[in-house]
Amino acid sequence: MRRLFFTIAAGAAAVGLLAPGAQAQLFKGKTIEAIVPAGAGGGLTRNAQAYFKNFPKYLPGNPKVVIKNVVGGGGQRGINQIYKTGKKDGTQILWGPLNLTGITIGLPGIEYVPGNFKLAGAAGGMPFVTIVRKDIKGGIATREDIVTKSGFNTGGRIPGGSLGLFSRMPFAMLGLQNKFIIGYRNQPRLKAGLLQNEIQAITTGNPGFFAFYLNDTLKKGDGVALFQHPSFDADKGDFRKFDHIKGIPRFIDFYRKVKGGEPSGGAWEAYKWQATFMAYPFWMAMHPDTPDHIHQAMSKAWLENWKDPATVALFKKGNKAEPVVLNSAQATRIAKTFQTTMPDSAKQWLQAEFGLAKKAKRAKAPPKKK
Amino acid sequence: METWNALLLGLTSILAWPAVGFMVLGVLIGIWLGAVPGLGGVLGMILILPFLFGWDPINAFALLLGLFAVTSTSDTIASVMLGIPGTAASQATILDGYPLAQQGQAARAFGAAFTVSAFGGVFGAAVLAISLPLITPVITAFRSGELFMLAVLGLTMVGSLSGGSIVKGIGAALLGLLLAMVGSADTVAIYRYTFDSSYLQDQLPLIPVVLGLFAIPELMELATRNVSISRVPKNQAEGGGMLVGIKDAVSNWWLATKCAAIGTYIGILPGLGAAIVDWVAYGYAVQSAKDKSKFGKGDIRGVIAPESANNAIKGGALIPTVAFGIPGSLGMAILLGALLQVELLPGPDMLTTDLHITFAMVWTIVIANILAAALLMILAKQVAKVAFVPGHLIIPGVILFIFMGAWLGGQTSIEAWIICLMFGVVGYLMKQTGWARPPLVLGLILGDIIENRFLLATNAADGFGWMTSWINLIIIALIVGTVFLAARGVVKNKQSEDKAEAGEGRGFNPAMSLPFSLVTIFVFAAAIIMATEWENPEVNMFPFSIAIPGVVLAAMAAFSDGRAFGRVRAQSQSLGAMFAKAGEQALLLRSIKFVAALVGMALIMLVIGQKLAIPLFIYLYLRLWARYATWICALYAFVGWLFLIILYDRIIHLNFHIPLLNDWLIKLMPENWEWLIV
Repeated sequence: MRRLFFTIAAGAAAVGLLAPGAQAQLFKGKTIEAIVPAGAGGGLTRNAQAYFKNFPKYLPGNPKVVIKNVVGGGGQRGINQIYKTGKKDGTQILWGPLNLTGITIGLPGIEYVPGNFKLAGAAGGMPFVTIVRKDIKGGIATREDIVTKSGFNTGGRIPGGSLGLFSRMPFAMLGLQNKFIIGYRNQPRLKAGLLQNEIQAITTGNPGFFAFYLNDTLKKGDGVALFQHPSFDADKGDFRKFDHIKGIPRFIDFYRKVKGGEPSGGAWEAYKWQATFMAYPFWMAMHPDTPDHIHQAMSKAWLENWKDPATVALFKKGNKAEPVVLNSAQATRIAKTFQTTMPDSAKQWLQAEFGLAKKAKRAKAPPKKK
Repeated sequence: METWNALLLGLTSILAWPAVGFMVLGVLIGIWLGAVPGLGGVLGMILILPFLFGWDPINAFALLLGLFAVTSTSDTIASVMLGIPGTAASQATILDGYPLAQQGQAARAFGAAFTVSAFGGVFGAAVLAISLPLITPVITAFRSGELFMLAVLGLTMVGSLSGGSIVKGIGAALLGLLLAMVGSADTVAIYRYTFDSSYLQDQLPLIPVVLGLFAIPELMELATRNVSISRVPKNQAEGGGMLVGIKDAVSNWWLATKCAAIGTYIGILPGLGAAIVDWVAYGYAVQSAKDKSKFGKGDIRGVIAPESANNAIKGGALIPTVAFGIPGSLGMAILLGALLQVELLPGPDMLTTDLHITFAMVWTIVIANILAAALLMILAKQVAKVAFVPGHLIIPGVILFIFMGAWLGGQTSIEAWIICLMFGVVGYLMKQTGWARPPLVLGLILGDIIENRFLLATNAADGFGWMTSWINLIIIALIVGTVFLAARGVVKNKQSEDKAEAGEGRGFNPAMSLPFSLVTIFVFAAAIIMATEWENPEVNMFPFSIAIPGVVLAAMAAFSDGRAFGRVRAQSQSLGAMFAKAGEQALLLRSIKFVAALVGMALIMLVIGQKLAIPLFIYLYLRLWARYATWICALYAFVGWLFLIILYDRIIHLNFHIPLLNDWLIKLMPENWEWLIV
């Protein structure tokens, strides 16, 4: 009996001693593919390159990380691929936005259940910015003049896209009549449309604001940045404040100033929901069957790399600000609860916006995890 | 004076070390990427981009632009030698380049192509330099409505690309337009013609379609006829030297200049893209030529026009990219990403404080184009000799590049191979039955632009008021003129009873044509029926507008084929004898065997993956079909495997297919060495 006890104890000690060694070798000699569900030249890929430059040193075994762009399906193909056929040993991870709005309102083509992913974390939360031409419908001298304008065109990329929504929701709340011209597909085309006066209003993401507009349209005085849309901090019950975009009010502050009260209705609920859940463009997700020890190693590396000053400095080059970083548990909570938290009024508003109410039956529900 | 200083500073910056070294390195990589079908400059830039953090902008762009500027020069090699577009920008070059190679005149084609490529590149860069301060009015004038009209104008080139039958040519273009409707509608979240396949949710990917349509039928012919690319023995090839080609280029300088201008301005206009430029230039060359009879059969002007245009586009496309941050193509989008990565911002700064960097880019394009043309001319004589090598030795290597190119360009999915194979069969049938293939490709490329821009223009203007802009009125006049000239050409051809046998759309085999035309009627009819399910006019308007005339034209083609069928039937002893003769003429049985071998490779790939299936195909093809010695087959297969491992896996980091036997195969290898086989 005593011998047996010693044998077990020795075995346990050996496992205890070996385990860290085994863990240290977890990714040794391996190559991790970071799947970016967008084109190679875009902001998502640039941010991925900035983030993953130092990421390997926080993973046991110091693997190589290569970025792969998997485009298609309005950005859903790469995510579907990780969910359905992604590698389960941590050597294939997603870096990109989960389309939580699309799932909630029944956009077709989404074949994943966000809560089933093994999530290392999510990051983002930085503001979108709405810009209009300065000569919009007779011209505006101050941004507050926009509330007197109507009958202009607002540009959007694709049905259900965040950029279009962050234009349409605030205009709806302000009661501005505008036509939504959808189909520009990417930010450069939206910018071309704005330059050509085919559309008069657009919304851009945080990196796009610095890359395309601040140094050009706004600097030349051709456009006015109306308001910014930071993410909503559900714990504090308020929109976040970022100081890197100077002189552009948060939409909520703008609304209070020009309307003298709090917004309400379907567009407002949709706006708040969107700013809470769809504000994170950088999710790091793995196949649902990824083993826990790999998931844990990846989640740890995710946070440690965001604390690395070199990573933050690279990220800030294009974004001028640090992102809001969620850990694995926080990201998982969002992924599991987003659908139940959308108010009906918000859902109805979004479905009407994209003409999906009567089409919803055509969309296939995402498959359940086996 | 400041501009002049910036111009000189740009030149000295790019000629300083290490920038000049990076540029030469870029040119060498670009030549390689352009020459291998399916790779291309975009891929090269994607691979280099992650390493550019912290680089000096001049060095970064010396490397990137050196690479990107020259792929349109070296892509001529595959187009001429193999009848396969090296990149999307050299599709039209195959129409006359490949027939020249078949006549033993590949070196001549290279001489002309490389000369005008260098010229086009320099022309585009010069326009870029001159236009930088003046470009705003051009960009702002060409809105969605104007781009729509330009795309329609491009579509009128169908008349020049149809070969023997204008009805079948337009029918093929409509088929291409219909294929462009596959995927998500632009304005509503509804999928069209996807058959519940997530792969088709976007568009049909161009690269697998084009590779299948053009490459597989040519390989089929090489394999089944057991010939080399040149049908003329080396000692009988006449007038095919490179100097002759250079002289051709010089004597056609005006055509080259006009096509370079076409390329530059297509590049400047954001939203048209590089894939159409060679078709438009080729179509222009045909339409503007007095003697059209040799086009499609080895007319050197058919090489000069697209090659001049596809190099010029890069200078043009750089203008909106640096001046406004509006990239006109995927390649430019990646360059824009690089611009931001080295902390340069597109916009006024690039034309003022950073103007010397913009000029350094201009100089890079100029020097890289000249350097690449010179290097390729040195190599061309040796490359041209491949035309006289037995076809069986070329086929396996080309199959590797085609299928991996299709995989790469088709979202790294098995569907890419299916599409490539399907369009390989379609291409073979079109070739046999007088349906020209270029109009189908033109329709596929332009269909998306036409629908997208029409809807944007109409929605933005709340009607059709955009049609009356002065630019649109000019383009409409050009469209009317082009259609008139094309119609006159058709009548003239009929009167002259042009019965040339060679060239696109001139195949004559009624026993195969009639069934093919009937199938085409079915495809258009099915498309109409499916479109009735979509209630939204923004979703179904274009499918209806394409498929309804498609049915009519396909029926006209079938009627014409039916009459030809009747005539041939009357001359045959029996229906069986007629079909037997038709099959013999098309080498049908051996062609079916060849396709079966490719399908077999695809099926085996599903089980054991590309890294084993493709070398296995190479070995079996050479051993069983071409009857080479075992050691040659094994050596060739090994080299093919090395390419897959080194180029596609280690360098490109391609997503390979995960085979059915993945877990079992992994166990065969030591840990961390699995990548050698799966």
